[in-house]
Formats: sequence, structure tokens, C-alpha cells
Amino acid sequence: MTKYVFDGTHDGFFTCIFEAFSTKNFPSDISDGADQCEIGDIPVYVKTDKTKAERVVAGIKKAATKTAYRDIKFAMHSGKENKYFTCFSYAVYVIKNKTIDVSRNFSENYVLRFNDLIYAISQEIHRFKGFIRFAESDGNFLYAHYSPDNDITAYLMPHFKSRLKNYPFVIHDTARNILGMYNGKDVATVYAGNKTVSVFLSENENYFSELWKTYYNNVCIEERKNERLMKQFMPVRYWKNLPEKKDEAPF
Amino acid sequence: MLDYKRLKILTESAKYDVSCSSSGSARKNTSVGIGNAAFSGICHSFTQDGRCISLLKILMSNDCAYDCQYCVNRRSNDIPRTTATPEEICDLVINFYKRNYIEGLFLSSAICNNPDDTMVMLVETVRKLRQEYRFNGYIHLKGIPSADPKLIMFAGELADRISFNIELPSEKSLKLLAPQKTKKSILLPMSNIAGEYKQARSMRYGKFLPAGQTTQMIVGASPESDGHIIRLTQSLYDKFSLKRVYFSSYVPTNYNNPNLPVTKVSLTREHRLYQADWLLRFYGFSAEEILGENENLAEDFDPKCGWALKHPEFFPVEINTAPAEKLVRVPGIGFKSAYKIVSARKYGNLSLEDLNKMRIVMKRAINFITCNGKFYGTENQSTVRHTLLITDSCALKQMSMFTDIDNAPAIYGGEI
Repeated sequence: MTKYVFDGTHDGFFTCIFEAFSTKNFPSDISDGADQCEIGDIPVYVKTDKTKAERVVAGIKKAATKTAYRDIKFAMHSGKENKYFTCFSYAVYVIKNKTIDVSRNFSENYVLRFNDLIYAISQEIHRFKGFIRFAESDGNFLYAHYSPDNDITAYLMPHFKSRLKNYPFVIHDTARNILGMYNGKDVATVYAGNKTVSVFLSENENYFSELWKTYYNNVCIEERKNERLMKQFMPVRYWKNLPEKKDEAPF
Repeated sequence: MLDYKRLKILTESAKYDVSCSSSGSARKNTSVGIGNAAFSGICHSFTQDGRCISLLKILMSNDCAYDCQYCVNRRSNDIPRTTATPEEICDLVINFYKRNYIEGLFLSSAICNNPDDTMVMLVETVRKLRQEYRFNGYIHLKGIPSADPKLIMFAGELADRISFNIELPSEKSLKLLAPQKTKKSILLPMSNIAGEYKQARSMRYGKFLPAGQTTQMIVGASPESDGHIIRLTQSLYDKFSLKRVYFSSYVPTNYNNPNLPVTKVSLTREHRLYQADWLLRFYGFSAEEILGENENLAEDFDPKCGWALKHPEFFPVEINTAPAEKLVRVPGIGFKSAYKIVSARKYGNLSLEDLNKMRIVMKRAINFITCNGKFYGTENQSTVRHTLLITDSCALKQMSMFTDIDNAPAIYGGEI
């Protein structure tokens, strides 16, 4: 079973597609080297080549609507283990059928699975536009920490930038140690490596988070309790970063 | 600044208003301002009753001059009273908003002294928030019946949405349970707003209530049938171009009144009414198609299934050729499924297996469709009925944990 291993970059990923078509050796899996090879895997190390990658991108753009290429880039932000192979299979399927644009053929498994990735990421971005919780730091900026399933920080930044134009803020993905930062003018998303981040909160902070909890606890209609529905909309794994739910979070 | 105790009083008094949506407005931020509105709306948290928190839903005051019998804030009810100042509300909104707790403000109030005084207080708060605090997030304002129309129109230029509550589905019930409110005092401002709204749209000055107006009525406190309620809803959409009509199952807040039921009203009924409302707004159904004037919606299957069972002549629908508006009338096929089907069939005829892969709810749809002319379901009406029941039992079970089925007899046998 051939398994492609590449360097985790966009160009590297598209080079893999080039290799598959030119060698006719289509892999059964593809990895960025983070996971171990299993017994029976025959690893093929693919060297990133910008020219080859660009030819593949041009091919995808020609074979399908513009959104297909954008969707593949977007799907790479998924937190799912099999994301590279799902994207790979989708891209291969689109290129192989270049005479008709099959990027929306939902009766095909490649398209369905790929669409699931896209859906999960979009849904999480939308959810976190609501579930991000800022706290006021004593350094006069707003700080939020969260740990989403997918790597979505870069997609949240424009939303909060237009809202909080005059308030510098930091959104910290603690699962990946990625920081989205806004200084009142520009936005940057950086990977903090193994550095730790410490923030001191302003004096008022506790008062307002307690007020918020008071509001949260009193706006519920007791006679209509439906916790299952609540959890469906607001999964328990997100609770640890929400002031109103932190005390009930299981970990 | 509001303290915990007063915030608690003003929140508890406001919670029975069901609307919490923040959609329909795309208001932009300004260079010195804070906030904007997201057209799709954003939910920020969910309470234990499964409702979303999108807006800070709060009363300006719960010190009411009226004595509406179903209302927790009625004059004769012995509860703690308090009134907030415009500054207190504004400070709270800004501080909650910048922490991303909320999407905006839903401000309502009990009747303080008289309708005009109350409306002045509400409008002043919203004006301050927009003009002094430079807040561009979502604002939903409750309109006070019988307040000066000029105040309401001014409010419309500041807020994203205004709602007047119909409260009860008929004038007779309104007279009995909310004697200080009249049908005219509620419908007149709604029709004024609808006129202004239409004019603003046609002249494209657009600033007037970008998210339009909505209303709410209490279900089950009075004896009106679902058929009556759905017809009323349809005429509200037609006449006043409302964005939404909300239904609120009556929750007993007054046990000493012979005119009111003492047990709470089935949540399934509310659920079915919302499903019917969806059929009106998005699925191209009319109230007359859904049910008769004096009928009630079935508890054990949804209104679309109900319609499908009554109209065998419409089915089966051919998956590979039927237009989207026909597909969405099939039980088990909603907008998402219809979109998938219409997109996928461009590439070739769809088989039953394809539909399964696309996660169409085949258990429900199978008896109402054909694939390439072939019918895979059963003609037996009682089996068809049974499958619809079974597939919906999950939703029912979820509701029934906190549902008392019968409630209405008390009121039917009462004075009404």
C-alpha cells in the first residue's frame, strides 16, 4: 500500500497530486509526516516542487468552478486525521473528470466526504463567532482562549476586526498554540511554538463575568428545561472556555 | 451600574419573550464605533431550556401599571420591582458586547405610569446607545401599544427591529385576559410601521428597521384552534410584511385565575405551530392547505406529513425530474436535500442507492417518490402512516419528558 509523505505545505500537497498522475501510482493514504507508518505501508517521500504544484492548481481551476480550489485550501484547515486523503481523492476525482465539472456531484462518495469536511469547518467558524469569550486584560486589550476542532483562527479574525475596530484583541487557539492578533490596525495570525502565553486580567473582569453568569442563570425558563437540546447546540467540549459553563465542564 | 440583584429581577421578568433572533440586519460599524450586525444572526450561548442567547434580553422596568392576567409582571402580582436608567443599560450592553457575550440588545419594558412615558424611556435608551456610545450592534425594541406614533417612528430609525406583541390570538381573549390592551392599539402601530417600512424599501433609504417587525402570541392560554392561529399568522405576514410570528406556549404564572389553565401547555403544540409557520414562509404552503379553520395540528406527526397523507394524488414525485418546489413537499426532503438532489442529478439519473448515500431520510420519503419511474414503497395507507409516526417518535420522546399533554379542558370548561 503506497503512502505519500509530504512536508505539510500547500505546494507539497499539490505536488503529491502531480506525482500520482505522472507515475500512475495512486496512493492509498497521504500524510504530512506527523503520524507513524503502519506495517504494510510503502512510504513515498514527495519533494515539494512549486512548478508542479502550480500546474495542478491550474488544472483544478480549469476542470471545475473557481470555488473547488478555494474549497480544497479551506478543507486543509480541518482537524480530522484523514483530511489530506479526503482532499486528495476529491482533487483527483475532479481532475480525472475534467470534461464536465463534477465538483458538486453529491451522489459521489469523494464529493460527499469532502463536503463533510467543509461543512464541519464552516459550522465551527459560525459557532465560534458566538462562543468566543473575551476577557479584558490589564494591558488594555481583549484576550480570548479556545480550543476548536479545526484550525479556524485566521477565519475568525476579519469578523472580530470589523466589530471591535477600536479594541486591540488576541484570539488564542490553545490546542494548536496559534495566536490571532489585532493591534487596532492590522491582523496577524502566528504560531507560538512551545512558548506559553500569560495574561493578567483587569480589575473589572470578574465583576462582568459574574454579571454575565447571573444573566445566564436567570434567563432560562425552568418549566421548559431541555438539556439535551442545549448540548446539541452547544457541545460540552466547548464549555471549558465559556465563563457561564466553566463550572459544569467535565474536564 | 446594575448590580446582580437588579439584573436578576429585570432578566426574570423579560425571559418569557421568546424572540431572540439577531438576523436580518447587516448594519455596518463606523470608524469611531463598536459593533456591527451579522445578517445571518449569531447565537452566543444556549440556556438549559435549549433556547439560544443572542441578545441581552432585559426589561427597562418591571413596575407595571397594567394587570394582564397571564403576565408575571401584572400589577396585582407581589414580586420585587425595579427600574433601570438608560446609562445603566448602555454600560451593560457595551461591556457585554465587547466580551462577545451578546450580539446586541432586546429592550422591553412594563408599562411605567403610561404608554408614552414608557416609550420615551425606551427610545431615549436606544438613542443614547446609538448616538453617544456609538453602538452599531443589533437592537430589537419592544413597541408599547397606544404610545405616540411619532415616538415609534423615531425608534424605527434607531433600532434594527421592532415588535408589538399580539399577545392573544383573538380580540375576545384579549378583552378577557388583557383588559387594558385593545386589538386596535396593537394593530394600528403595526400597520403604520408596515407602511413606513414599505416606503423606506421602495425609496431605498433603507435605514428604517433593517430587520423589519415581528410579533408574538401566547398559545394555550385561550381556546383558539391551531387553524385559527395559522390563518391569523398568514394574514399578518401578508398584511404587515412581518419577518416572523413567534408562538409561546403558556407557562402558568398565575394560579388564582379561573380564566387561565393551571397546568402548562404542551410544548409539542408550539413545535407543530412553528413547523406550520415554516411551511407558510419557506415551503410555499398556504394556511388553507395545512388545515381547516377549526382543526388542530396532529400531535403525532408534523404538518407536512399531515398534508402528504391527505393528498395522495400529488404523489409519487419523480426524483429525477420534479422541480425543487415539488421535491420539498415530500416528507423527509427539506431544502438541503432538495439542493443536493437538484445538483447531483445533472450528472446522471439518481438511483435509490444514491439517495441513501446523500443521506436523504428514506424511511419517510420512500412511500412518496419514484426513482426512474420505479416505486419502492408501499401503497398501504396504514403502513405509510405508521412509518411516519415511527420516524417522528424520537422528536416526540424528546419533548414528552417535560410535556403535559392536556391542559386546555380547564379553560374550555371555564367562562370563555
